[in-house]
Amino acid sequence: MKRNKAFTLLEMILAVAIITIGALGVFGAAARYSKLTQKERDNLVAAYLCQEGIEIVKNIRDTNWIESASSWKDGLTSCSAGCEGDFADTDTLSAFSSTNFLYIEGSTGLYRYIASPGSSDIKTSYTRKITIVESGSDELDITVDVYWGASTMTVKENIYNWKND
Amino acid sequence: MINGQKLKSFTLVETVISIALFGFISVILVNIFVSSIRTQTRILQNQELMEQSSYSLEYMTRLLRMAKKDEDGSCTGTTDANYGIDTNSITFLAYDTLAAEYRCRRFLKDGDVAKEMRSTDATSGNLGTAQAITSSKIKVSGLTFGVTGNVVPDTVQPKVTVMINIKSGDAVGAPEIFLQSSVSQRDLDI
Repeated sequence: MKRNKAFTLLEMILAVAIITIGALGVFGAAARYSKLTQKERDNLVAAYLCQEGIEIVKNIRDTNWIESASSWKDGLTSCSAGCEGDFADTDTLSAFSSTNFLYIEGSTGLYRYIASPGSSDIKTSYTRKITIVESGSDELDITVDVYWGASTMTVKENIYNWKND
Repeated sequence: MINGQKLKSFTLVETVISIALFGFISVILVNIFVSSIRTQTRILQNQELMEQSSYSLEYMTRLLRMAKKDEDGSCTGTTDANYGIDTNSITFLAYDTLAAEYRCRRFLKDGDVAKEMRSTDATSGNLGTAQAITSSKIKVSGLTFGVTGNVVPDTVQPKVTVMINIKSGDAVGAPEIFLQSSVSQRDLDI
């Protein structure tokens, strides 16, 4: 008589454990990927905010040319330690503070620095530091850092006094 | 008894335990499968959001950067203005590469879709029908424009800020993006 060999309890437990670990691994990978996608989305927003920082500085330089200011870098030389700045700034930038966050302003619907936010202004986790260093009489080095959570995105750009009067 | 062999069968306890185990494992696997699919849906929604929002923002800012001052105001509605801004819309002279001339153009939010209108000339009176820029599968819940230094004779270089707020649907907790960028006009506004 051939004896039918059955699985022992230990074998069964082991098999179930292996299957569970495998499945949990797949699930964990999917969850991590989801978190990465969200991080990627935040990165995209930060990249555009960085670009905006550069444009704000360029805009002030161009304004200096139009209004025939005393210098092409009027209002830009006080930012060697970092400045704030949002879309409404056309003249000077105020000093950077890491505790000031960008808000989505209720009245304009745009990302802004708001001194005393109201109930319709939505606080974001982003802060933006614009650092401008004079690297020559006709050259400015701009560094824009956007911080959120534990992440940072940095964009660098050099602008020049190309308009020769 | 068949041919002197004893038929061996499962006992009731064995059967019950095996069914219970099978059910237990199935429930776990199905749960994991369902939540994986839900996660994947969320990932795809996020990707769609990023693609749609960055495409539309790039498309708009590319033209806004190269806008031209509207000297007679027939496009923007104001003499010597660079941009005509209204709630959820912006009208300006954009360079039309096919026609090789500046023509009036408008970007607007129509319902839950970002759209553009092209004119056949430099006036806003000939703006055609609105064509969609974003997909109808996603929901544009905000398209906002801000402008500084718009109307000459100010001495400020024009700068346009565009904010696009897109949701992937009406569901609670659906992925959402607030994407904003500014462009300073390329040509000096003198």
